Amino acid sequence: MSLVPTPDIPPVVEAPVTEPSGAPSPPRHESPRRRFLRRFTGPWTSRAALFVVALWLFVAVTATWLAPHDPVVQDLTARRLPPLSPDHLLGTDSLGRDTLSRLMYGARVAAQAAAISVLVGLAFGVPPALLAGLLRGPWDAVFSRIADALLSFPPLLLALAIVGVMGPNLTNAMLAIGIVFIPRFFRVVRAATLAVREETFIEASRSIGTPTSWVLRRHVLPNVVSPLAVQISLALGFAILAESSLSFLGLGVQAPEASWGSMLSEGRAAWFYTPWPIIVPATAVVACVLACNVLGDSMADSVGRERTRA
Amino acid sequence: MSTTPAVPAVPATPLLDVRDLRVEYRSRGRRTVAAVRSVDLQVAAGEVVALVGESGSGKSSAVRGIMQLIRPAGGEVRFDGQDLTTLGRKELRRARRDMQMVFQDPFSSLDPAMTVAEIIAEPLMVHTDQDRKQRRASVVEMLELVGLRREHADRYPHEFSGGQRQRIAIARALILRPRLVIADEAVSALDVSSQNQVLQLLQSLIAELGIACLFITHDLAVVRSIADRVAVMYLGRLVEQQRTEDLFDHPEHPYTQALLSAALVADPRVQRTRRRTRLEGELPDPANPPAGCVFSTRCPLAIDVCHEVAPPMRPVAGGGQAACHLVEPA
Repeated sequence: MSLVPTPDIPPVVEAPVTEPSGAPSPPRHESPRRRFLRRFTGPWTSRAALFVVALWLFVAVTATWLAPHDPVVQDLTARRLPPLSPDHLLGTDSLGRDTLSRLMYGARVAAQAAAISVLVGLAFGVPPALLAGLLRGPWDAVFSRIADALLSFPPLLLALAIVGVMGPNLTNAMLAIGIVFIPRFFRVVRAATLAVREETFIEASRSIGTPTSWVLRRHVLPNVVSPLAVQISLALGFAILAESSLSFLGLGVQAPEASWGSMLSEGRAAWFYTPWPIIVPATAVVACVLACNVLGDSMADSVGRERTRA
Repeated sequence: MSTTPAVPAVPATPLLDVRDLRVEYRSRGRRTVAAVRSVDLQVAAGEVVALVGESGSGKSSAVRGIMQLIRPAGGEVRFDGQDLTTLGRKELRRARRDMQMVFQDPFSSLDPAMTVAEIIAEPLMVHTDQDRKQRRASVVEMLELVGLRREHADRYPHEFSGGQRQRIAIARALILRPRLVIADEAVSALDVSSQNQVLQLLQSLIAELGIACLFITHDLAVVRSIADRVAVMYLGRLVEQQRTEDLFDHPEHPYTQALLSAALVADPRVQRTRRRTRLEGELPDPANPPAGCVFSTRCPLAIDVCHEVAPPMRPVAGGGQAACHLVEPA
């Protein structure tokens, strides 16, 4: 650089960054991610929800090693045991299968189901949404109409139809739920993209000559992740519920495999005498769905930009 | 900022040569509104040209047309001899390397999800194959050049004031050492004290790097200190173009005279004794421009012919041009 020594550039005066009063003043140098975490982990409800979800995922991963019994092995000498029985912490069902072990394997099924459906929704919902939102025009028109059409199907009915055609198993059921998620992710991401594309930094990036794919990846995607994360969280809750429902109806996991939905279904016959085999999975479903929803809500509360104006 | 005493009013071989530029917007009802009707503008290498006009005059649209951010509806934009309006996507991308922009609003022109280093390095990522280390070095050098510090590199835009952000934007625009920088109201959004600082910074950097600059503004005080030449725009057309001293000395077009008389003079005694030309009314609707001269509806001197015939740009004494029936051609 053949520059003459720095010209008389006036010294930079740092403007104090002001934070809305209330919360303890955050450190001066804080990345958006850390700011999000600080706000997100503030309320006890979201910490509790985080704990529940973490526990669910942990059990899902470690069920094979953690479960005290094989979830499908029947022990007809130990049927309908109440909780806290020796060797069966949460009792047994009417076939003598260990409820705790079935619960753990059920957590794994729920996690698989949630993962498959959300991934399907993301894979087919997000890229077209980014394209439609950034480029508008015919792309937007076509993708939006498809999304509208998908959105008009009742979720479980669509799942029933797909399972009816492709056969009842967990993967098919969750592909169906994933299809249900596609238009929802699409809409959220498209709307956020529409807002971002009006920002001057997109125009600035185009004026630099940045290719469209880079603009999408480097500028649009990071700025639409927040609303998307909220949707993902809510979708996880819905996926658990949908998996339970379909398994309850016998369209998801097939006997004797354990799922929270099939546990409910099997325990239903004798619930009046032994409510435990129903109460346990029902509690798990409620806790996880609730946790996912709380997580989504508090994410939504924490993602707003704290913009400061000089 | 005049480079040599004898700057020709219209350079012979301009770096940027805009001919008959027309920029249109299509509104919902398929109705087109021409924000820029016919603009001829030249910027020589190393020259600073100010494009002046009130809001709604089409300055920003002209810039977007020149930068091909909006594809112009007509005319040519020759940059270094190459007509940008005919370039394909790839060639245009390559051409952008030498023409960079600084935008008006430093709060939305920097991506809030990126660090300052990432923002400034973006042109390098697109146009060079420098590795991470080289880019970092360039960024740090740029930061220091615009009066920021190296430790600012890993912060996010929201941690900076408006003036500092505009410095970041300038660093991004200059990191490739382009041949032309287009500054679209680059200091208008800032408060007066940082306006001056940022202006001085931009001025000294482009002078040292020998970068040509098209400086869009509505503030004549800014123009006087920075520009070699001034083009005045009104309702999508240029009405006058002169060297800066000439324009301030003897504005030819009645609109320019009104603009100049609206600007305050620092000395209150002088200010009190000045004759002011006040403009009546509003800028006409660009969708429905007046017949004849675009300025005829507000011109204090308008005569019959002004409402019927649009005056062409004609040379005036001193080497500039003006589009007015009442101006004696040179």
